[in-house]
Amino acid sequence: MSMEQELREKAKELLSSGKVKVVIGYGEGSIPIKSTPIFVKTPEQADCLVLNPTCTNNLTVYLPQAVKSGPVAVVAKPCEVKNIVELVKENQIKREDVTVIAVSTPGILNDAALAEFDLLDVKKISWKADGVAVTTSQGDTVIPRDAAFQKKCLSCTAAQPAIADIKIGDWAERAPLQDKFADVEEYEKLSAEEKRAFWAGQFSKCIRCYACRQACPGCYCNECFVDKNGQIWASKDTGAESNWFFHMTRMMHTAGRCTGCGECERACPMGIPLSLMGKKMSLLVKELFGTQPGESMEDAPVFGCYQTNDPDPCPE
Amino acid sequence: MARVGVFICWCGSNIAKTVDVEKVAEAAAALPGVAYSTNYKYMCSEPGQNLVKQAIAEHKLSSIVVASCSPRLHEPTFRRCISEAGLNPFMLEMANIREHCSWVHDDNDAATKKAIDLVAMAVAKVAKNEPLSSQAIPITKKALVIGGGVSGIQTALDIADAGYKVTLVERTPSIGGRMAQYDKTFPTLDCAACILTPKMVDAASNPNIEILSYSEVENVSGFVGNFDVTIRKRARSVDMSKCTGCGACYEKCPKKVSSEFDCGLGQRKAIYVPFPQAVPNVPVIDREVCRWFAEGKCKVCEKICPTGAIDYSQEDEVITEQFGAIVAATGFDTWDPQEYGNLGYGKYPDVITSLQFERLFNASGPTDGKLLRPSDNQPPKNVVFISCIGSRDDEHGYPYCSKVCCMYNAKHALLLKEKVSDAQAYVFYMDIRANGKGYEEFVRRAMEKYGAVYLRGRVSRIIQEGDKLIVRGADTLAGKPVEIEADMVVLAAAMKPQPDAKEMARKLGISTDEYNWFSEAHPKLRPVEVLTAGVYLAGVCQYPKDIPDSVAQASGAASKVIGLFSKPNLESEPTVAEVNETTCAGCLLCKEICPFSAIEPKLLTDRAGNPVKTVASVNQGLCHGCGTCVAGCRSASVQLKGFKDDQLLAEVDALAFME
Ligand SMILES: Cc1cc2nc3c(=O)[nH]c(=O)nc-3n(C[C@H](O)[C@H](O)[C@H](O)COP(=O)(O)OP(=O)(O)OC[C@H]3O[C@@H](n4cnc5c(N)ncnc54)[C@H](O)[C@@H]3O)c2cc1C
Ligand code: SF4
Ligand code: SF4
Ligand code: SF4
Ligand code: SF4
Ligand code: SF4
Repeated sequence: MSMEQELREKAKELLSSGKVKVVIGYGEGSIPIKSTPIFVKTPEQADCLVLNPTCTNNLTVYLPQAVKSGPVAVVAKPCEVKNIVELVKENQIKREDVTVIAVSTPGILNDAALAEFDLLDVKKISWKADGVAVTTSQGDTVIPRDAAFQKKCLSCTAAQPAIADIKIGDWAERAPLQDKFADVEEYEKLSAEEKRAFWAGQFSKCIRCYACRQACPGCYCNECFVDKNGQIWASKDTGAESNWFFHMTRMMHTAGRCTGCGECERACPMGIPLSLMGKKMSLLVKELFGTQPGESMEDAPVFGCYQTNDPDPCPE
Repeated sequence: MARVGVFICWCGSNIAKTVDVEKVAEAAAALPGVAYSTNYKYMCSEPGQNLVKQAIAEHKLSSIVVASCSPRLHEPTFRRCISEAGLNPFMLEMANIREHCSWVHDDNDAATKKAIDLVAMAVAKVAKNEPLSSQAIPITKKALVIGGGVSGIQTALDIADAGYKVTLVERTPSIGGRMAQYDKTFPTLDCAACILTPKMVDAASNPNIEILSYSEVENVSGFVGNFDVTIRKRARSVDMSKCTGCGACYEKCPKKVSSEFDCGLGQRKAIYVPFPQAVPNVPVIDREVCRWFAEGKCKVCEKICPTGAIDYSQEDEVITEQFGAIVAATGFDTWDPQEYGNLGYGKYPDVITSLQFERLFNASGPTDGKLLRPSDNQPPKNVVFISCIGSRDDEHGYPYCSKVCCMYNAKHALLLKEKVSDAQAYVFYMDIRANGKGYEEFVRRAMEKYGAVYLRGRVSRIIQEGDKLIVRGADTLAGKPVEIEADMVVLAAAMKPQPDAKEMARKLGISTDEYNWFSEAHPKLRPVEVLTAGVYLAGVCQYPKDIPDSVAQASGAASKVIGLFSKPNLESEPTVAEVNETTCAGCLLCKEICPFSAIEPKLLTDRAGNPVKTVASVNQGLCHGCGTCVAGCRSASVQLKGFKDDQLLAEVDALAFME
């Protein structure tokens, strides 16, 4: 049985048994290059569920709202299970209210891999043993894995999820094709001035649409600091300083919580490499506290616990 | 719109010498919202305060800025002053133009400019201040004293005398603490038992005192006025209501083990009272060694007990009670001199600690008060006392001075001579610290009347030769090495915190210093309080002390408790955190990081009672207003009353946009 088939069966079971009210998964998009999030409410609708390299959205972002109308099941890839762990630990959802359908996919398509294709002519995108097959009127083209997949997928080890109710796919631990922090290492070669110039350039592009924040499962605040009216710490304009302030603050807010799902960067219409910032922070957290977000239900939040042996290095 | 009044104080010449107060008052008058501005020589004096009150009435002021000294000093004064004039006391801001300005600058122009800035900030803030009020919190008028040494006993007696209930928790089978182990006490050489035992008996018979011996505090929650404390009463295996204390059981018990109370020099039975004057005079069975518990046979004590008080099936009892105040009086432990390998402690039987020495001439000790050395039960002639064993030693022990060793060394030297008339005491010391009433005289007496030989210097090595201990050291005053052939060596081991001090401190919300002594709230001005309200310190658990100091602090702690209990209610500080339930996402990070466990989740429901969402909720009684949660909340959904973001930002803006 294909993973997609298995997913549909499980979804039907969950819905017909009444265990969940809704299954959040992916359905066909308006064109085959993109799947779209769907909310499946009846066993019949479960046949609309798809699972293919274009299933990119992080569906856990819907959970805090969705659980309000009853128990839900959600399709989550390895990195996204970590977001669920964080959401449970941060009291946004109750563990018993979500059925985690953890799917270990071979990898998700990176949009840039389709650059050479006539997007309207793409009929189907599917996994092949050594990469992703793009079917057009001209036939199949196989893009090799390292060109086809998103960076986060290339460094994924599909390690056992901290929580899962249903596991689909091959969960055997795999060797990553790329080091997770490779681009941070590259970035670290820049001097302080170069780094500053780099980010100044990037942030000057930001139009403050907040798509990054909206896509982030960690940014569930009812009122974000930038939306405050009474107590205004952060200006709402798109000047260089205020953009810088927004991004740095958001980064501090996601420290120790950002799972590297990459949604912020993918959502950004201006192509700002937000994941790089997230990864740099993630690396710091790993080095300083020895923890990684979402990897265990027990780890205390890095900003929420104090240990006498906490490192306190002097920043250079 | 706020009508702000600004009052610039000269503080005599303290401020006026450096700051042009007239000019500051003039500049203040021009600030937005300021309806009145003036200056005066001593704002805190009665005429000064009257000036404020009159201005409030005359100019219909709603908010007041006093530019003077630190709010630490006079904020309470001016809060009272403006509330007497009908304003809410929190409609006050103080601009500190003394400590933060006139005292630290000498350029008058710059200081005046800075004073104007500080006043402008205060004016901007006060315009955004809101009236705050405190809540009345009821007080449970019952105190918990942890530790039944002389300090704990004194505290309990004083509180009970004032008419309040006290529970005294002691973890060993009897109260009395270290003092019960001594024979005589410096500097007056009263017999320790004669002065301590009556206090122990008083505590036991006082209807306001409940003694829970063989018990331990497991958990503490709650806050000043209302702590919830869980206490484990360990199973004694003897029914306290039946036992008459006749002692037949421990006479006949066949199982002997080394006695903790005699510091390993004597023996006790498996069923025992630690010492004859124990309070309560009810034995306990040490289940680790009792034959019945270890081997399943014996029951001699049960057979012999005339009242049928032995109960092998007793279980630990865990109780939870409320207390309004807690006094920690957990005392000290002593350092293990085995860390000094060169002194042969633990290797040579006649090298002992001072505590062991106390037991050797105590009438109820292992030798019935005859001073006999452990190896051969002969009275020693030459006895060497060595100070600072583990004290004032950064490398092996502690850098601090244990404070009482110089004194008990003198006591021991003196008592040695009294017990064994031809004995000779040698005391190796680093410095003699005898700074108490009658202390210097006492040490002199030991030297001059009792012939103790004091040698300034360290001992480098002790070796056993036959039945003698050869003590090699230096006499640094004479500048030459010394060697003494001794019969016994007594080591004045450092006082150190109880092994579980850190854990106890955590339970009680007490901070500790680098060694784990309990930290007082202020080293000079609040020596018996700790930073957690309603928790007080008595005795050595804070730092090494002798009995007079311990007892004085114990009475101090008691008077703090009595002071607290004499109020009808507690008033909570109104400057506490407050959650904006509309924006709070209920992530509870604030709950994790609140150092005072003041935040709990709260379920919001709609009118029909259906749950809507969980938010954080601050317990006003527990919140100390530290602001940690405010810094932690990502969405700024928790604010500190009196220090809200918009109030602080107004100050920052006032400074930033100053021309
Ligand atoms: C060898 C020696 C000789 C001394 N001679 C003199 C002298 O002659 N004159 C003088 O003024 N001072 C003398 N001192 C100092 C004196 O011992 C102390 O000042 C005094 O004992 C302090 O009393 P305390 O009640 O604070 O502590 P302690 O006497 O240590 O009593 C603390 C009590 O608390 C109990 N306890 C500890 N932890 C817990 C817990 N977690 N739960 C419940 N109970 C607990 C202990 O079992 C103990 O009963 C001497 C000290 C030493 C070491
Ligand atoms: S910050 Fe970006 S990468 Fe991190 S969890 Fe949020 S959306 Fe994902
Ligand atoms: S950026 Fe910060 S305040 Fe805004 S939604 Fe994300 S976590 Fe909340
Ligand atoms: S999505 Fe991109 S452009 Fe929009 S606010 Fe985020 S970084 Fe700025
Ligand atoms: S940290 Fe802020 S959002 Fe989270 S529970 Fe506390 S007040 Fe609410
Ligand atoms: S202000 Fe401090 S004590 Fe009060 S709730 Fe916040 S963190 Fe706790």
